[in-house]
This record gives sequence, structure tokens and C-alpha cells, in this order.
Amino acid sequence: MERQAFDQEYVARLTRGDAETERHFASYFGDLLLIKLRARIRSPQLVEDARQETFLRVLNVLRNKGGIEHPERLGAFVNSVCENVLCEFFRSDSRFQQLPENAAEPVDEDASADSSFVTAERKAAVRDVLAKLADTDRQILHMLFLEDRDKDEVCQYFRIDRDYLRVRVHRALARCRTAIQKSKQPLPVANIAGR
Amino acid sequence: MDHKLAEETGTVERYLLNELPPDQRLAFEEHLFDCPICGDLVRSGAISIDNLKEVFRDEPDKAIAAEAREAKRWNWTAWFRLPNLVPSLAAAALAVVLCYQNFVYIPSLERPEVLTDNVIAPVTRSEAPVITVNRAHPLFNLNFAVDSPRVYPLYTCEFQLEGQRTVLKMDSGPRQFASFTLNLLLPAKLFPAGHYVMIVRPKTEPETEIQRYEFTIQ
Repeated sequence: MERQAFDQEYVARLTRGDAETERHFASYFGDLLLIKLRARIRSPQLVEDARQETFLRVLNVLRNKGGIEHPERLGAFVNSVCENVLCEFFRSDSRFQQLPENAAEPVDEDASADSSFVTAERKAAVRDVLAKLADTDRQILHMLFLEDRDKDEVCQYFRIDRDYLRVRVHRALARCRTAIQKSKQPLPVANIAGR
Repeated sequence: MDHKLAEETGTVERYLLNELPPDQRLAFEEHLFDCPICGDLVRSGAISIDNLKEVFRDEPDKAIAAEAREAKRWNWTAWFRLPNLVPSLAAAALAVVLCYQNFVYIPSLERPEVLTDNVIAPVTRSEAPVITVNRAHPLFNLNFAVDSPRVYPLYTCEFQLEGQRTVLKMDSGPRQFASFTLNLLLPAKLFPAGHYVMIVRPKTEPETEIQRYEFTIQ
């Protein structure tokens, strides 16, 4: 995705409904919101609801409430709106189960299956990376990301410490990132509700 | 939180692995939405993780095979850990000893053999006799001509490797006469090549030397 500066000009284009800017805004912040929200909300449907609500409120402030004071802090503004939406979701209905701060990450079997991040090209790129990884690294990734094993347990199994585990994950992810980037798969575009 | 601190502390990976405590997570998210570099790293990291999960789900057999290979490798290396290594080596050593006894030592003892009738005389001015020992056999025989000044019921024979140590001390067995031929069957492994002295003493008088013999083994 083309990197754009979040400045007064960007916010102005977004405010007046420039299609290209809206597409970039939805794509860039849509992904970040998805990553942030799905760590806090179990249901993919509620994640999407919270994401759309965040977009709606941000655009509402920009278009109907006089905009924001510091356009260069657009990202921080989006994040704070999302935090408010989250708090309201947690408070508003007992249907929404807020996770305690220190709770373990919930096992969401379908989190990635429904993810717009997953495509055939990216999977092929990741598959190539996995094929070239050492067995140990492949098994670490499997235990962490699919089996959702406790990280201390993984460290104990491979007789490594948490820092080294993070280094190995970092290296593997870096290789995946590069391979995915080379696959030139365009990033997903999120929809903005209420346009 | 600024970008430099986030980079130095590996915060992107910690965030993706859900390792950040709540306050640090909130601080990083505030930075993340404003920092295009961290934003890209988190996005591409999350994309990688989601695709990794999918590939693992698509190919459970391969993943399991990898796990099995890993387990196999671990089991193999586990043999070299001390708790396993000691009994394993002990068992291997025992097997070697048993094989040697059954296939080399015992068959050589059971093999019929003609003993030499060469008799070694007490020390004289002549050159010491040279005895050739077949090292393939565990035992070899030596014969000594003993002529005691008087009869003793029992004698001791002490073999010394010249200039070194006593290699063997043994009884002659009960004797009825003062003169006799002492036929001995000796273990070959105790007698490396060298010049030997054998001293015969009465068992009851260990300070008395009755006769001394010299010979060379090769």
C-alpha cells in the first residue's frame, strides 16, 4: 500500500469524500482496527461492528462536527475513537464479554479463516517460506499460532528463553513479510459503512 | 512511546504475540496508529500470522510430519543424555565382554593342546631360555626343575618382570619330594614380553630362597 502522510491536506480530502483517500483510509486504518479489535473481542461479527462504528464516528466528526484540531494526529484520533467504541460495547450489553486485562488470548478457530488478510497468493508465499525453515522454527510457529500453546510451555519444550523465542518468531515473520511483499498481492480494502 | 523505543524493545513482535501488559499495549496502539512504519510492520506481521495459520490448517499432515520428525530427532539425541547414556554404555560394555568370553576366551580354553616339555633349569651361567608365547591362547605352560635342599610340603613361586614388579605369586601345590618338575599353566596376559625371574621359596619360610630361574618371554 502506498504510504501517505496524515496531514491537513489528507484530512481535507477525506472530509470532502475523495474516493481515493477514503479507500486508503479504510484500508490502512481498517487493518489496524481489525488487528486491535480482534485481540479484544471474540466474535468476528462484533469486531466488524466495532470497526464500522469507529469509521462512522470518525467521519462524522470530520464532516459534521468541525473536524479535528490536529490533523497530523489523525491516527491517534482514530485509535481513541475506537477505544471509546470498545468501552461502550463492553458496557452496553451483557452479551459482550469483556476479557480481563490479564486473560489469555482466546482461541478463535475461525479468526484467520474469515480474515481478509488470507489469500491464495499469500498462502503460497508463506508455504514457500515454511518449506525453507528449519523443522524447529516451523514447529515453534505451529505451536504458537495454530495450537495456541502457552509460550512458556513452548520455551520449555525447545529449551529456549522468551527473548530467544521472540527472536525466532521475528526472523520467521520477517521472511514471511518479504515473501508476501514479493507476491505483490494487493492489500484488502475495508468497506466504510454509512457513506 | 516513540518509534525508536518501540523498535529497540521489539514491541511489534510482542504486540503481535499478545505479550504486552495492558498499559504498554495502550501506549503502543496510540503510537501505532500514528506511525506508518510500525503500522506497516504490524499489518504485515498480522497478515503473515493469519496466512501461517491457514497454511497449517490446510496441511495438518505436513505439520504433524514435521512434528514427528522433530520428535524422532529428539528421541535420537536423547540417547546421549547422561541418564540414558550410562546404562546404555554399561549394557554395550557387558555385551562386548560376553561376546569376547563366548567367542574367543572360552573356545580357546576348550581347544585341545600339547604342552611343551622344555624344562627351565635354575640360574646358571648359560643364557636364559627364550619362551615364545602364543598370544592367541589365554594360557601357556612353563616347566621348572626344582631341587630343594630338603623337602617342604608347599612352595611359593614368585614371578618378577626384571627391574620392575612381581607379576604373579602362586603356590606350587603339595609336594612329596625335594626334587620335582614344576609344571605350570600361566595366564598369557600377565606376562608381556620381557626378561623374567622366578623365585621358589618354601611356603612356611618366605625369607628362604630355594632356587631362582631366569627366562625371556617374547
